[in-house]
Amino acid sequence: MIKKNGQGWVTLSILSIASTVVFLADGFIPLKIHAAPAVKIGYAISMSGVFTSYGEDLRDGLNLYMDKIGHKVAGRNIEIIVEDIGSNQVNRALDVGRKLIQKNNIDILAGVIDSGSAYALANLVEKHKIPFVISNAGADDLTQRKSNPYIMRVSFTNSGGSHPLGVWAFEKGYRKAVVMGSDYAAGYEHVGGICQTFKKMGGKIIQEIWPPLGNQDFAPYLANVNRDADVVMVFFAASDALRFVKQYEEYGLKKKIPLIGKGYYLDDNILPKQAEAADGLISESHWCFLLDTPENNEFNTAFIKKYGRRPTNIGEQGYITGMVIAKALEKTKGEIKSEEFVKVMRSLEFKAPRGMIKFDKYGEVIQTYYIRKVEKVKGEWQSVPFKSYPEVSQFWTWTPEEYMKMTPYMEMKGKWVE
Amino acid sequence: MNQKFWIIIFICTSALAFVLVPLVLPEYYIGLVTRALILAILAMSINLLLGHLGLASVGHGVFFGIASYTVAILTLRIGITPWCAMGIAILSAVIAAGLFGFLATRTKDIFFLAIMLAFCQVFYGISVSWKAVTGGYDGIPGLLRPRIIPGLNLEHTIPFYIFVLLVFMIATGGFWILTNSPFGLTLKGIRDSETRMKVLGYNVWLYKYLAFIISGLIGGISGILHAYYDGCPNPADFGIVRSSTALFMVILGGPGILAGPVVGSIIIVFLQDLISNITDRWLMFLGGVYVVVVLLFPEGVLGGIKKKLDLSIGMKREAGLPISHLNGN
Amino acid sequence: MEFWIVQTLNAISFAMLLFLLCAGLSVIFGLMNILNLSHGSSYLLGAYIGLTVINATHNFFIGLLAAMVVSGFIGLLLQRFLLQRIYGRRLLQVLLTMGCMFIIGDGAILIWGADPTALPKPGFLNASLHFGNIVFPSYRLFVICIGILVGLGLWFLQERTKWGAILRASVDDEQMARGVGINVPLVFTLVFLVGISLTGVSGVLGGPFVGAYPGVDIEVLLLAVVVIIVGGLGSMKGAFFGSLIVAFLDNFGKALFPELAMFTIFAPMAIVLALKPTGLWGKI
Repeated sequence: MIKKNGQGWVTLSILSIASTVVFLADGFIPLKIHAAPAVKIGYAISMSGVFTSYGEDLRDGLNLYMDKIGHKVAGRNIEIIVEDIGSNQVNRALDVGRKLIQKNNIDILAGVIDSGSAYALANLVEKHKIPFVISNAGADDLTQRKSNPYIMRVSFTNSGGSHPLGVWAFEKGYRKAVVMGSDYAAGYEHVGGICQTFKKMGGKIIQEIWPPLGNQDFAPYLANVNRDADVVMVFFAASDALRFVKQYEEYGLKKKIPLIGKGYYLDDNILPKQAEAADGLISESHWCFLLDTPENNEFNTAFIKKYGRRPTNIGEQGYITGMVIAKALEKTKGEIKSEEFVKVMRSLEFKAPRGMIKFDKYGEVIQTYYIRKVEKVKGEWQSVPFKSYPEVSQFWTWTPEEYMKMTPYMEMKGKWVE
Repeated sequence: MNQKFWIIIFICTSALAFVLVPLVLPEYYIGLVTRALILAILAMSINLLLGHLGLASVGHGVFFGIASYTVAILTLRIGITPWCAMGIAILSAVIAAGLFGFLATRTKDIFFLAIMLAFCQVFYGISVSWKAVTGGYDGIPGLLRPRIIPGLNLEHTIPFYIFVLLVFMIATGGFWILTNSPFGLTLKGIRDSETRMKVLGYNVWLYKYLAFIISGLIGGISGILHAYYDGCPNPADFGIVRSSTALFMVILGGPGILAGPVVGSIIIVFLQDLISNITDRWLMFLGGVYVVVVLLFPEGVLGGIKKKLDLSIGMKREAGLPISHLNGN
Repeated sequence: MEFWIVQTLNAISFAMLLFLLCAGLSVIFGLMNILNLSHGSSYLLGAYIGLTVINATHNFFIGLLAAMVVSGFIGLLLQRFLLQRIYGRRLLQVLLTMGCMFIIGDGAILIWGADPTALPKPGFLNASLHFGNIVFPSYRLFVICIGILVGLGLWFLQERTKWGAILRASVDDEQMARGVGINVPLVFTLVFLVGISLTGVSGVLGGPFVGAYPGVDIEVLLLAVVVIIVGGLGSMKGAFFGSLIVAFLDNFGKALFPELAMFTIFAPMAIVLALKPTGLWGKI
């Protein structure tokens, strides 16, 4: 026994030498993308797990914008350090955050797709006083009840686009709705916003159904849908959305009850695979491929030219991430002073591919939301916008104080049905 | 006499190395070493079962996660003092191990593997579904490090590193005492031949059960440190990647060897850091490392080196991996 | 009433998919004592390869065949060059196959990208069938038929033919089988090949309704583990009936108790482990 442990210590020293070698090698391996180091943006995105394709879109969108401005602003070069934080891997996100801040000495943190990682990183950036541009994660409270002075969001709040959708549903004539969403916080927020405005205008929610995130077989849930409803309002994303839409049609519901939902359930990268099953379905989004504006056309053309594929709303969000940082840098003449810089970003107002955008005092974007319908356009399945709600803030028509006094949508699951 | 000399030399050397860390390494790397130490403790809990009992577990994340969540829930949702919260968290891991142990210690091999996986999945499900308490997928962010050492702010990297290092050294010391005690020797006897031990009159099941509980306790300690390190317990703590990586650390270092877990842990943590500088597809690389280690270093790195040093014949059996057809009845 | 009929059919179709997935794992483990954690990867590979071939040839069945062949081939490589070396060493098997799982899973992202995809169904099975008020996708009925056919085929093969006898002999007593002149390593290899090919096939069959995406390998592996724990190892019957039990519990559990969606599968597993650790029809 004692012998054995003695040897353990012998070999430990050999190993510590080996570890030192690894560590030194680690320090000498150059980081991935380099330009003359100047403004360093740490881009923490998902490059593994279920959100990988969103991560790739974010990366490609940002790089496209950087290409446009030549990776340079206000006399400083811009260096982007891309790191994989996995999908829903909060600990990995924190490890990466620490690495970017402490080892790479970034000036700005950007990216993040899932809200769990966003909340954790929001705490980290507050501790280290680093501006944080959220390129996707939509958790409402990041720019509401749990906001901090370092947060800037260029994407959306989960419930932001839901409010106009609920209004539209009522205006369309629907009165009795069944709502369905993936059983997690984002699902509650996306769906909650729709319920809130729909009910406020006089509609009724007659049933809530919450399949687990990552659910494969929607049949049991679809069979449970209350056939009295005149509309089913949903939030699903990624592979859940792909399966849901197909199964909605397979089990005969598409012919019986109209389906509307947050744009993710008909995301551009799964729409071609949903094909006929998605025909005629209504969705809401803050960006559409078919928006015919000079900014969007320029963006689309450049994206397709560089990457050989169509952009998605996530790609556009990556693009705007770059735009917001660059425009702020222009204003501050290249200076980045944590909170000050964030204030400058929040003061921006400009025309993005998605339309006119500006920001509120919590760092959240104020933008237009579009209602779209799936049609076959020139042989391709597209979501065609036909109505827009401009200048929508995360608080809809309430004041921030009123809004934040209400129960958060995250806690309203199960409470929409009377 | 020879051994004692080496032991002293290397205790001093490693102690020196760990002490030098905060003085020599930049802040980021101190953080990495901290993380490695925390995971080393988790790996140590697996080492008890694997190296000393021959039971491979891909599910120790369950104790890790339970303790980690308990600390956060007690501190943030209920508002208890840190020492109480930590104490209750360890207790919860022990109770969990006590309950699971009934089922787990009756099984072996793939069934043991499966049941540990099942526990992990069940708790994963709980952590994701019971949102009011566990925060669902987002977990419980915002856990601050405790103010338990007067004058020392654990929110800073170096003080926290020292704290973790102290806990690690105490845990290692305890582990060493345990494995060299009559209890530890009995465990090894069971690993080598259960029948023989039964014939000799030992209550084999009881030893396995106790070992399982102790293993849960150590895993819980690791979970608590982890909760404070990241400040955000979340469902991934119960995930298969966390548990399998910890298992791999033990194997990489060499099962049954005291220093195995920490060696494996440091290598993996730094390797992960190194790899992610080079490529996004680090999981593929990690998988490759697993395959290479299995084919080239089946006894673990330390075990392999030991074999080559070949200082004693009896060591081979002790450092080696259990052969299934020899194991148990 | 329709609810129960539709749910039952659903459960059976899911069960058949699980069966095809697990038959391989169960027999491989039972026969060769190999715990293969990269089992889910065979499913994933089968699905992606099927996707590529179906897109190229516009023929579902060629895709099915291709998936079967390629995943079988990869399984063969795995067995002959990697698993053979660590025969009997459980822990190393766990690690090696887990490593392979990571490699294949990430490799798939490199080759096919990370977008979730669903495989297209064969043209003639695209429609849903209508019986009165019941609407049910014909493709799922097809899966049920395939499952039953394969199940019967395998059972027949195992119980009624010479090959089956050789197989059973090798499982029951390897030494004697060798003594009688049976080339046991060859039998093992063939069985491994067939087992993995079946899994690849299940990847294509499941493709239209489960889909192919990063992470499906781990999800599928967990399901397989539950089925073989419940059904027992080494027995085709166990895989078949275990799949039925798990699929029914899962399906009806979700429909009737949506809050407990995460537990419906693991609860039965824990119960079986507590009461009959070798599984309900286990031979080990």
